[in-house]
Amino acid sequence: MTKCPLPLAPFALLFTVAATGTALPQMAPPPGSTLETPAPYAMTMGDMMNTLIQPRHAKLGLAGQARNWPLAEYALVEIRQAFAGIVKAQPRFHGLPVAELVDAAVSQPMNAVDAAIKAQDPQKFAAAYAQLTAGCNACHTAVEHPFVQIKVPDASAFPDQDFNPRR
Amino acid sequence: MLDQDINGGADGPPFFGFVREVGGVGINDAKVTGELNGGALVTATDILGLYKLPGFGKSVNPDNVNISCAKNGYKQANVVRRPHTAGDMKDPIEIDCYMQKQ
Repeated sequence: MTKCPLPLAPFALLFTVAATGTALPQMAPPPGSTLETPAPYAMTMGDMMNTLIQPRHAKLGLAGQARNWPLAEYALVEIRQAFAGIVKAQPRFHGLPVAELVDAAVSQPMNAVDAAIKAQDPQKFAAAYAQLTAGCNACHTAVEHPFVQIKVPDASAFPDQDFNPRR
Repeated sequence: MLDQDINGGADGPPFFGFVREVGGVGINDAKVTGELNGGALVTATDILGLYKLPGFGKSVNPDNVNISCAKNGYKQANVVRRPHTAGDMKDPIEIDCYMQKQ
């Protein structure tokens, strides 16, 4: 049997506190500081694009390149859901209607990607994915962010994920 | 700079919208004209069919600005002005122009 490499003492302490209901003593605030309720962090459009959309755009492309159609289908559902959430979370961006922009930029290309996945057609997928990517960049230009240029991924940024189909 | 460009600032609310085929597809490189009392501002749509026009002036009522669109092979079908939410007067006036293939 191998030994667990993690030090167990901190977990043991937590377990003891939880079991006995004893609260840890509060730290005194540093002199001169005020204790305030932490404000919830509101994600900006940039935050949402970087964390919700861009990784899924990349995963969708990598899955399609690997002809892993179930994964590509999953990635497409994920990116659609992410856009739906963003439209609700931030209906306007710099005064422009986000739902309209998303619809104009990516709805039709995402439908084309969906059709290519269902047909399991790599050429159609590549064309539709390029159209989707162009839609992203057109939208960035429309909101005065033309310097954010998205492209078809030429490498994986996810070393812990295998994009090849399961054998 | 971004806020001033899109939200109008001292020049009054800008205009924003899409030129689309009646079926909904955006039309690239359509000419969009905003007209007021004989004067006009002209722009063209991008690949999404999206256009933006700057404001006509703080004292101008945006309802008096006439938006039209044109492109070879198409004729203008109708122009749809989306409701402008009260309290968002700095936001662009949203007007979509629909076209039919000739």
